[in-house]
Amino acid sequence: MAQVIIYEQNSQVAICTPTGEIPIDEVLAKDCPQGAIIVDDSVLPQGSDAQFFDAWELVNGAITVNFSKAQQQKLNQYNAAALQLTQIRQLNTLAGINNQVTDTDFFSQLTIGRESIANATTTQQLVLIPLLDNSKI
Amino acid sequence: MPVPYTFATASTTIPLSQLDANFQTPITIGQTNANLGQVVTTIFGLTLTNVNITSGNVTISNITVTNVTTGNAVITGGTISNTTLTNVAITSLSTPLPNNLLANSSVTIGNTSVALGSTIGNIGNLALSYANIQSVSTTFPNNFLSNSSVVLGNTTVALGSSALSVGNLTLTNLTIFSLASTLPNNFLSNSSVTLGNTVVALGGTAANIGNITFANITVQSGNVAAAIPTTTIGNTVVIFGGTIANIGNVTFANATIQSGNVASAIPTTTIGNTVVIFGGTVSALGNIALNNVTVNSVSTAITAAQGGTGLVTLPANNVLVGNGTGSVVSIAPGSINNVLTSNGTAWISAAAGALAGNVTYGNTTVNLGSSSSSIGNLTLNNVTIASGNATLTNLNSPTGVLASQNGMVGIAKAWVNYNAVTKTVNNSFNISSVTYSSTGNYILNFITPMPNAYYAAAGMAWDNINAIRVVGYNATPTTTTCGIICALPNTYAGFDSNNMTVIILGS
Repeated sequence: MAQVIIYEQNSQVAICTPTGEIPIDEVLAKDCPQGAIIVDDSVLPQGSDAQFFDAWELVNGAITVNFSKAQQQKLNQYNAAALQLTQIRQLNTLAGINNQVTDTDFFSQLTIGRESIANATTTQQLVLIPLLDNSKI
Repeated sequence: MPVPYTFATASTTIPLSQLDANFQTPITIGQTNANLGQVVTTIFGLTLTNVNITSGNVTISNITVTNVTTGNAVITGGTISNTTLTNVAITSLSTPLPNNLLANSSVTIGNTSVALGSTIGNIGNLALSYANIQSVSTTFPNNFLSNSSVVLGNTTVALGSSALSVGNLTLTNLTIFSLASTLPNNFLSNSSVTLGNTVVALGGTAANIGNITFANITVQSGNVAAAIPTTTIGNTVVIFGGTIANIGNVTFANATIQSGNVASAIPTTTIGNTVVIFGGTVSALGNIALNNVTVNSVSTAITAAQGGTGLVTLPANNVLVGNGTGSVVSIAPGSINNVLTSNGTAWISAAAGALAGNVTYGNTTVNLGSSSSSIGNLTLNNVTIASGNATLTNLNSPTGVLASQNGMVGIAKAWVNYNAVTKTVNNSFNISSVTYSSTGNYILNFITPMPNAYYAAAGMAWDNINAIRVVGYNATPTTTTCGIICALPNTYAGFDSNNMTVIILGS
């Protein structure tokens, strides 16, 4: 069982993973602030919860996942990917290159994704919602 | 009507029949005139002496007896009721008055009314003068005694309190079991004790004390010459203050003679196993061990057989070599760069010849004068190659400057491969830990700090969600940490990758 060091920083959980090159006690003293604690890595959220690090909260020494924050993190990622594709689509239009997907279909897909995020109730559902990829250009 | 009979001159008995009912001549009894044949209820001024009523009952009601002076008045039986006795002196009672007679009576003692025949718990305001209390059932409590006082000697002492001093008090046959403090001299000055058979006034001076035995006495100062003019040491009587020429039959143990000599008193002694005459000369002492002895000079050199060198002086800077029982021999340094060389039988100082033969470095035997392509298992510390090139084909040092690689230019000073999703590190060098501060934002903590913050960092990221990632600094690098961000291009939104690699290069 590996061990990690956890503490709260800027109202968010910080995880310090020792590489094993030096003892964890030295890592705790050297790399972490006062109040950091050593725990087994089994206490870290697993599976789909592990995908939403910004939603992790440290409550009484235990890490929990705030689902509302997880939704917001997924939405931010979704929007960032959509923005990236939108910029490519605009550049294609300026360059006279035809996009593979019409604007109507693109925004329809974008809306469906956002609604799926809003309607999700578990992190498993959030993970299964795909970000828009190059096939939507 | 004439009196037919004259009582005053009657010479015979006058019959009662002749005293008829009409005989109205009154007579006076006491101070009361009584007509004969009449009933008189009250007679005043009548004194009855030695009246003896032998039969019948006499009831006397509301009788007042005043100043009965006649003795031996006896009332036997009967009841005297509603009778007031005034100024009756009861000189004695043949039997005590019974309790039931006294039960309804009371007396006042102090200011307390006490019912006779009953028990009284307290009597207030009672002054007892010259009381002789022969015993009490319990001791008087202090609060009872606290308002009382007694006079000890000429001092009034309040009972229940403390008296610091009691004056003019003589205590006889007093036994003092303990004292809170020692008695002061002025208290003892008028007292005396008996030491031996001599009475000694305390606080005074006793010239002589007879018949006293001292045991284990220590005289800390002064002298006892006058008091004990002589004593016996050994079998010799010694006069204190005098001089004694000889003391016979004395055994001294651990005696220290600090000055003077004992030559005449103790003519000989034994040192080791040799008898030494005090004041004489001893040429040899046998079987003697001397410790920490300083020999200032010797008349002849101590030979090798005697444990010496056989030399009076040792030649400067020479090497000394043993010579059997003879004196040690010396070898001078000779010329510069000479070395001590053996010719097979002796050592000489000679010029160093060409090196030849084998020496072993690490676990490699090297033939001197030849070359060795490799030396195994050799640890060199602080090695400086002043010129030429050192070629290292397989550098693997677990510790030291080579391990941190800070001593070498052009190679990675740190690197790491980690999974930001599972927060695990796959492999690393000179990285103590990876801190995940938020999605896509990491801090790499160095074990050996970088020589300066102007190092180069390069990173790559990959995941199976979206392949396009950028990796860069998210904070100003320091010598101990390097902040890394993994983000989507254009938006720079942080994104955790499951395969992050970062390499740090620098001077």
